[in-house]
Amino acid sequence: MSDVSGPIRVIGIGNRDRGDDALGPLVVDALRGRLPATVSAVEHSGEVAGLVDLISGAGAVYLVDAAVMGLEPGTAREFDASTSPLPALGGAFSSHALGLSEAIELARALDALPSVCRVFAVEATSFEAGEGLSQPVADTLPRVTQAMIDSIRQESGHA
Amino acid sequence: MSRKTIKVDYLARVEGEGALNVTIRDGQVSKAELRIFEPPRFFEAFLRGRDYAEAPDVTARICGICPVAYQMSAVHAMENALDIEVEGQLRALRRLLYCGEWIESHALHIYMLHAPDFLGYAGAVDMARDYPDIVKRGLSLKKAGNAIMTLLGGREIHPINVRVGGFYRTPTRKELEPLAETLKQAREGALATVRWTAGLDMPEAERDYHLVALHHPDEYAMNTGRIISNRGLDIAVADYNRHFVESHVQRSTALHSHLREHDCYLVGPLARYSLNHGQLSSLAREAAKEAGLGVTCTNPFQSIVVRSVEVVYACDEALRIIDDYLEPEQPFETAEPKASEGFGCTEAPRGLLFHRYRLDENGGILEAQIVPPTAQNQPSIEADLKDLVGGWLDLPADTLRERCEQTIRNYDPCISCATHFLKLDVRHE
Repeated sequence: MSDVSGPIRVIGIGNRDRGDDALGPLVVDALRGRLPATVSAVEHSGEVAGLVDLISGAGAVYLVDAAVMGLEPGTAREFDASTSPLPALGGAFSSHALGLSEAIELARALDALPSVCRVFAVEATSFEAGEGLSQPVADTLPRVTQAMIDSIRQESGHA
Repeated sequence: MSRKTIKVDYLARVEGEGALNVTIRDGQVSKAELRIFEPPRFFEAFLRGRDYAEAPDVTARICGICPVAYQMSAVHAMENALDIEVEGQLRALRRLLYCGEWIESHALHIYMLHAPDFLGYAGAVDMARDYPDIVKRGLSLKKAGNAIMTLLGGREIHPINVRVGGFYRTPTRKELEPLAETLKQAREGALATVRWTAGLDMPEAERDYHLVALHHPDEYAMNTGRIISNRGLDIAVADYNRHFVESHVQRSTALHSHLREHDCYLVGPLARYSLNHGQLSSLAREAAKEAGLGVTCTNPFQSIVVRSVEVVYACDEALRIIDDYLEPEQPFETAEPKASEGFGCTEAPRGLLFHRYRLDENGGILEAQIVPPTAQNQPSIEADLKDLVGGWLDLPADTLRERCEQTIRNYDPCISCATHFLKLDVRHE
C-alpha cells in the first residue's frame, strides 16, 4: 500500500460521441457507487491543461483512455506512469494526441506528479463520430473497471 | 527538375484531424494542400429532426476547446428564427461566458502550442523543463477562463447551462465575487503574457489579407454585430450565404469557404484586432502599443501577440461585466416555435462561426448549416504556405518543416494539437 496523501481521483478520458473514445467516460459511469466516498471519479475531454490541473492536485490518479497501441482491439494494458513516461510518448499511444501523455509529462516537469499515477489503456477499433463502443472494447469495459477498483484498493488503502 | 515534398501524415485525433502536403518544384512552391477532417458535418446531420432547444447542447459537443462558441452561434440563430430578444444582464452574462472561452482557448494555444515553436522546443513538455514558471502562468490563465465557464456554463467541458433565450440558471452577485479576484490575477498574467510574446523572435511576413470579422458599434464584437471586412464588406449575418460560398475539396472532409467575389479571406484574432482595434479596452490597447503592435496587424506570426492582447481584453471585459452585474429577474426569454429560418454568427476564439437553421412549425430542425472558422481559414492557410515557403527554401529541412507547422499553428486550427506531435516526413525526389 502506498502512502497516499491528497485526493484520490479516477479520470475517464474521452468523448462519448466518438466510438471507442467513449470508453473513459463509460468506465466513470460504471464506477459510480463502487468507489469509497473519498475517491472521486470524473470524466474529462483529455485537453492537456485541464488534465494537468486534475492530475497535479491529486495524491493518486488512475486514468483510463482508449488507445491506439497496435494491439488486438479490446486488449487492455496497465502502465505505472509515476516514475517513467508512458511508452511512445508523442506517438500513437493515446487517442488524445496532445493530452494524456503530455499532461503526465507536464505535471512531472513541473514537479507536480502524484506518487501514484496509473494509466489503464484499451486498444480501440474506431473513433468515428456517432458510433457506440465496438464489441471488443465493450467486452473489455467490465474487466478494466474491476482492475481499477482493485488497484485503488491495493495502492490507496481503501479496502 | 528538383522536387521536394513536405508531408505531414494523417494522425488520429479526436478534436480534429489533419494533414499537410507542400510540393516544391524547381525552387517554387507548386502546391500547398491542407487536409482537415472536421466533425461539424456529422453534427449537421445529427441535428436534423431534433428539437430546436437541443441545438446548444448538441453543438457544444463538436469541440472540447470551444464549446461556448458553438452554443452561442446556435442560440443566436434559434433566437433569430423565433424572434427572441436577449438583452440586458442576460446578454452581458453571455459575453462573460465567451470571455471565459477566449481566455482558456487563447492561453492553451499561446503557451502549450504556439510558444514552443518560437522557442525551438518540440512541445510544451520540453519548454516546461526550462521555463516552469512561464508554463505555470499559462496553466493558471487557462484555469481562470475555465473558472468562468464552469460557473456560468454549469461545467468546464461541454457546458450545459446555456439555453435558447438565456440560461437555465443565472448566478448571484455573491457567486461572481470570487471570480473577480481570480480574474484580477489573470489580468496581470495576461499583461505579462503580452510582454513575453512581444519579445519572441518573430519571422518577417506581411500578408495582404482580406480580413473578415464581426463588428458592433458599441463593443469589441463577440456575440452580435454585422460582418465587415477591410475591403468594404458590410453585411447582416442573415446575408452570409449570399456573400460566402462553401465548396467541397476532395482532399478534405471540411468544406472550404470562399467569398464569392474575393476568394480567400482571413477570420480570427488578426481580423478582429485590425477591424475593431478602437473598441479594445484602454488597458488592452496600451498593452498592444507597448508590444509594438500598430492599429492593424497582418503578420500571421504576430497572432501570438494579438491573442495575448485579446486575453488582456477578455479579462478586463469580464471584470467590467461582473462589476456591473445585477441579478436578472428571469434567467431566460421564451417564444412559441414556428416555421422559420434563423442565422447566428459569433466570434469563436479562432474566428467567425456561422450557424443557420430551418425549423418546422413545432420547432423541429429541418436543416442545419455550421461553418467553423478553420474551414473558412483553410484556403488562407494554404495561401500563406504557398507564399511564405518559397522564401524559406534555403533553410535546413528541419527548420523548414518547423516553419510550416508554425505557419499552420498561426491560425490555431482545430488540428493544432495534432500537428504539434507530427514528425514530418520530408521526401526528396
